[in-house]
Amino acid sequence: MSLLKRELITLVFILLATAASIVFLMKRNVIIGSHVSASNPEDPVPTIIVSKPIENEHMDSPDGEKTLSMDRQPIGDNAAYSFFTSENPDLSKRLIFTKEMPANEMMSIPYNAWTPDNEYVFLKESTENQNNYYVVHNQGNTFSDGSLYIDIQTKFKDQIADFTIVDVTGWAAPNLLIVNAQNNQEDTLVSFWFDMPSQTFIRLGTYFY
Amino acid sequence: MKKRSKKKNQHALRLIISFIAIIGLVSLIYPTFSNYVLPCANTLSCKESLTLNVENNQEGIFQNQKVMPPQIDLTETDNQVAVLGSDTDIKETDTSEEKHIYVNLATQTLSAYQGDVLFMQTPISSGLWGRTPTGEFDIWIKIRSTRMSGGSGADFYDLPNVPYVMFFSNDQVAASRGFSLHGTYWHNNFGHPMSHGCINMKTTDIAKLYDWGRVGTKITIYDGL
Repeated sequence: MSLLKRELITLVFILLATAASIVFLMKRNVIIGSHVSASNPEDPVPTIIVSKPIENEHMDSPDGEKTLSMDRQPIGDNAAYSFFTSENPDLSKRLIFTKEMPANEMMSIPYNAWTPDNEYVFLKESTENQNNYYVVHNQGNTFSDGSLYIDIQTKFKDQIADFTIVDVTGWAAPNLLIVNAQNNQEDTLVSFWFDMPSQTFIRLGTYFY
Repeated sequence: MKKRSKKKNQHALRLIISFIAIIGLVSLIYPTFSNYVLPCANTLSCKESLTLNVENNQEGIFQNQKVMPPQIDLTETDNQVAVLGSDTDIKETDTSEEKHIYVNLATQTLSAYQGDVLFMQTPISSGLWGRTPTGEFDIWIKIRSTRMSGGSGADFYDLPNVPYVMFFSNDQVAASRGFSLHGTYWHNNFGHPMSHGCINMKTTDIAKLYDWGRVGTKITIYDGL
């Protein structure tokens, strides 16, 4: 082989080797001249879980003396609801009711939640099947049967046949909760008062539309 | 036979014409003689409600339930109103932008504007047991507190210390009828008709409106359909 041929072959070999090296290094993603360090597996960087923000809503009593507030905290596929009352202008809050439920259901504070005398509040729960309503004492006190709340929907179904609650709108008087209902044939609308002391329903001749 | 049927037809025609004539006459005369008067908003305290009345520590009655009225302290209001307890002379001084209150009975909502600026929008309760009149009205007096009573049987009510009362009237609805905007301490069902004709408001809302409104402020009450 002539010298020239040998030198040419050598040159081609060097160029090929260089190209191959470059390709190899690019694939390795190594920057020549820098130091690469890896974290010490014995000292892992702590994972910080950022919780989703708490959503809040509130409703003042009609005389402005008290406030009912609600916090909603997302927890995975659920949400935790907490209800508080406070005396204005005092900022300290008293927890009166809590519930955790699926994220596609919700609780809310109705506009007319407070009784006119600020003694009770009613809360609304919206589920896939129906709305539920709970009456709670403003201080979180228990009722005569030891329960922390009155479940209006359950009481209604126990006491009133052939009717379904359409809406609970507010308080007709300090102890009378207005419950609007429809008969099962869906052709008659009737209003009831839920009487707090007796925890019974009074059917009315006037419809509270 | 022919003569008989002809007579019959003439008789029937006369009856029909007489009938139409009577209907026409009654329609012409009736508006002149009919004198339908809108009942008082508060049927028992019709006149008494129109003056200042503060009765602290007195119980009220509503829907057969005892209710406790708010304590009224006249010294908390500005001097002139404190002296009078009512406001007939404090007229609007800033006339650059007219104040106007709108009450939509269909949505049970009150909106108060000064010019184009919305001052307040809030749910109210209009007449359920008595009709709230519609039309254009003027506030003719503001009274810090009064007693209202009316109804009968299960519907009877007697309510001392009704707060922040603004009576309104027009040519058809006389001031003596006692229709007003006022505070409410006996029910909390705003956004739904609940009254005997007046416009019930949350006490915190009416307190602000009472301070803002003046004698002469216009109120438009309409069905909003």
